[in-house]
Amino acid sequence: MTRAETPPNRSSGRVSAVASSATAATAGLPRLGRVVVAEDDPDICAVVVLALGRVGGLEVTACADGRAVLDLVPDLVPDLYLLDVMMPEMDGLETLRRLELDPRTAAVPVIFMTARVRPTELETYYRMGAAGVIAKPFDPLTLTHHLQRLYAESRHAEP
Amino acid sequence: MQELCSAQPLQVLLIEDNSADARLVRALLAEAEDRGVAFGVAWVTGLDAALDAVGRCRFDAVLLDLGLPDARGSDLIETLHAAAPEAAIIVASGQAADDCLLAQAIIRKGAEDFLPKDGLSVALLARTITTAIERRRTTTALRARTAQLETALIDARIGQLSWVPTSPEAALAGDLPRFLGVAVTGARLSMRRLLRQVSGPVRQSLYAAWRELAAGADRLAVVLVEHDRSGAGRGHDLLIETVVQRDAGGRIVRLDALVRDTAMIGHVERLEAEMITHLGHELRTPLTTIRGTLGLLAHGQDALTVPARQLVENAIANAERIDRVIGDTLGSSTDQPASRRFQPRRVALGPHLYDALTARLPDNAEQADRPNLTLTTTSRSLEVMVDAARLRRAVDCLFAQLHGRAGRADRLALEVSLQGAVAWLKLALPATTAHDIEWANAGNLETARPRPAVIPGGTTGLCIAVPLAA
Repeated sequence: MTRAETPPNRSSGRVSAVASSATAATAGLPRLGRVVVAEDDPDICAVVVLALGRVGGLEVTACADGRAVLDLVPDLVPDLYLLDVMMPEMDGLETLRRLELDPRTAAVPVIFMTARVRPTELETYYRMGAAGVIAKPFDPLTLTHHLQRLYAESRHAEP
Repeated sequence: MQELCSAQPLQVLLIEDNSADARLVRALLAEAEDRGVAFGVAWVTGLDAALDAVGRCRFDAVLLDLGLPDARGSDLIETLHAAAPEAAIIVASGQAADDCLLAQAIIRKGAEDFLPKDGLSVALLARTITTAIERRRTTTALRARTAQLETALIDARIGQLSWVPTSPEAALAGDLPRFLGVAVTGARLSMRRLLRQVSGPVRQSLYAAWRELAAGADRLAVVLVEHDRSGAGRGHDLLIETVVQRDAGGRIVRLDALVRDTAMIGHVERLEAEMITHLGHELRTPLTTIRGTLGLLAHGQDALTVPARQLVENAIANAERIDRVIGDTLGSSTDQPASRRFQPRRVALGPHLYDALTARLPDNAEQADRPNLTLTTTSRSLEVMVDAARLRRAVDCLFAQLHGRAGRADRLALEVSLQGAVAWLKLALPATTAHDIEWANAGNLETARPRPAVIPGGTTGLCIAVPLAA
């Protein structure tokens, strides 16, 4: 796996950004370290990788669709999955379903990152087991903070 | 031309009479494959050959030179557009690299983009073609959805009825006469004649509807049976929406009714929702990149001069303004979803909830299973719609915990629906004050007594308005 702060190209499907520092905003909460991102739009993917990696100090692995996310298991099981909903090959909802079926990833919270945030759509995401939703467009400077908060809530909510 | 029909990802028709230019474009597009975008390119030198090509194969994009031996000018775009409406047309011309008026004219004629031949690169060419194809597909899909929605809207409207009591005639339009079983060809007939012609059940329905209207209803749901010539009937669930004008004494002076098929209304609403979702996605995807890129630029403030930083911040404000307009127009909020923003507040559940819970518990529930809670009044409230089965399980678990009979859980989670959006009501049970319940998630709805409700999805349950502590 390559590591660089660039989005995945359409053929290779994934790339990583390495954490530079821990974010100070997360003090006292369960610490979010590694995130796998699935986003088919290369421009948005570049923004997310930079926002989480360079700005947020997280270790980010980016994929172009859900199938590439599943291919990472078991080599990489992150602290959190951040998935686009509409993707080619395998969309975010199907990816979530498969992650929940796999005991190695079932406990990893999944957060959707989508422009589809009508109430009925949110209902679907949460019914399927999403730990949260990031609405597009988002502020890249607060993205890590939102993920950290949702991650902490999902850890706290576990029985 | 055979290669055109192969399974290349993006098929491009290059219309170029200059062989050197054509070779350059083909070489650049071939090189693009190394960057992850593959093009299948067919090259023709004139309009006739181009029209022949688009007649035989489907192209994703047409790269067009406006100066061809057998045709010239921007009218070429309209001709090709008519022949291959699904293809994105991009004009590549050496005529005017900086001619804004020409570029505008070209776009107005239906081209997706304009490429000056000078300075062509792999990246520029590949990106221009792929984004033009994307735009074309989006536009085509939106037009198809719009046409589908318009058709459904027409289908959903059964007809209209207008009636002025002082007039001897009522006006029927659309399919309404057929639905009422009235054998009239004209649009108008007397109300007396109408009632005489309709069948007994229909007449009863109309009388019942009239009583409802006279009592002030403005929406009626009725079932009418449509009869064919053999006498067989087919039921239709109709929604009658009326606008009633009354005089000072409350008497109806004019009634206009729109009659729609309920099944079709549902279909229309689904189509509308799909269209809004699609449009929102198409608008917000590029906006996400713009907003995100600007945010990252603003973050690297050291690299920006003060005027540049101000420009970036202006651009961010305008991107957010566009997003708000999209949200207002499409009716979908641009805020980050709040369903999971747990904001713990301390409340106690009181008589209203107690009555509702005990009233809805199964008959075989033991008296000891009934919760004993108290109410604290507050200024805000949360309307919770709880599925009855889930509520029962949660109440059982809650009671067991309160009385120390079973389990070690110190919190519960209820799935609830807030105005159609699912959220979770979290109940935490502090060990020291067993009857206080600390819980999370907020609503901003009016306080109301618990009432039986139909949960979205069809199951029955309770709708509970619980005040929140400030």
